[in-house]
Amino acid sequence: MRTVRKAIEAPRSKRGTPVWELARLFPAQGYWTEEDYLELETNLLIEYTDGVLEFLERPSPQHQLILQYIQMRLLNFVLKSRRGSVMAAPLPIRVASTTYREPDLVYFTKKLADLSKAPTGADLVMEVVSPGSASRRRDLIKKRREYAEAGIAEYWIVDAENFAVTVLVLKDGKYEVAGKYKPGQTAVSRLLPEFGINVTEAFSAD
Amino acid sequence: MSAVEIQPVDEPRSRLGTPVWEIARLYPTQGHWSEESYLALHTNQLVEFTHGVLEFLEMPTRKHQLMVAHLYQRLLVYITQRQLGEVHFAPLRIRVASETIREPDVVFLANHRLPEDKTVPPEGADLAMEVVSPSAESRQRDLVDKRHDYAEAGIAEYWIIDSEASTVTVLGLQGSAYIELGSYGPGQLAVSKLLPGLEFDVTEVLSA
Repeated sequence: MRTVRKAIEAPRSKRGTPVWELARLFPAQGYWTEEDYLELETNLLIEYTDGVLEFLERPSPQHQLILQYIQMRLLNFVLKSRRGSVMAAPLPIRVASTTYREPDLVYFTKKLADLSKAPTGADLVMEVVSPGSASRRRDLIKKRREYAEAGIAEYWIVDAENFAVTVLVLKDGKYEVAGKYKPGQTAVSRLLPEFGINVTEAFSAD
Repeated sequence: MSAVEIQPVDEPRSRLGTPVWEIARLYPTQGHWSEESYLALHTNQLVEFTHGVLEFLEMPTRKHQLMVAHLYQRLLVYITQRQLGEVHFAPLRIRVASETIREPDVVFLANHRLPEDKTVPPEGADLAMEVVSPSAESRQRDLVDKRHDYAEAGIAEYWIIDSEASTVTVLGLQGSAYIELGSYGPGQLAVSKLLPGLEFDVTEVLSA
């Protein structure tokens, strides 16, 4: 039996606005396949859950600067230790059978075998939260569960609103707080014991 | 990194079951489309292109489609019997000007005009027909915009079937503009000058 959907009036585009009508050429929310999602060619941060595309807020300059600092430090670590690889968003990571997330930073202890496909899981992920991003904060709760279910050994939350870096470590399928670090302290990884971030420096990047 | 954008209040948000409006942000804004990016859109929806702007045509009604089928069938018989070329119905992309691509409801392409490459949009046409849809936008497009575009493309004859006005208008190219060869109402026979012997009973067309 065919389900008839009510015809939706498209918002009307005008010169200079996005072409909203294009949405009619694509599946509606809830009807996207993983292939549709992975075929999208874009630098926009888009995540995927059960047929639904989620467009993430554009990161603020502050967010990008903090991220850049941490990414640089992690990359340095990778180059020195000659182990693993680091990647930044937008990079879809499969965290469940029908869920893809794009963490700010992703670390793999082993180099990826197939660079043409979206990886499943990761070894360490990091998310930066800047002030005023209420939706991001909400996402962290959901992502805590998802990253744990995906078996991601370590999850860092870099919170620029409260100036804290929380290191979560996976134990028995759930995250435990291994450490919560404030300015003046060094946040250290349990997965990569030689890797640490000076919290003051991370939040004063500019 | 550029300044943070404030989301405009009227930016549409998708929800479960609705179109994903946000997809539009992956593409150029209106006025900034190239012919190449337009042609790369793969869709069976009716989308035309004019000077950087995409124009989305309304989904046709059954009535519209019945009228188009009637016109197409008659024209097809005429052209095929005389082996004059090809007859097509929308959506077939026709380039009518340097930055304009249209998808006429019915179109006749004479043999000399057919591109070797069957995947490339033909340049211009020999006869075009449009069945006007009810909206104001559609009327403007068919009666004004396309009249201009098709003349510029050198399409010798342009037929406008207007069920709202109950007329079939036959326009003939003279120089660089159309003149009205005839405007026919119910009970009359609309005739072509380009294709002698091609005629349509207006009542039959309008009540298809």
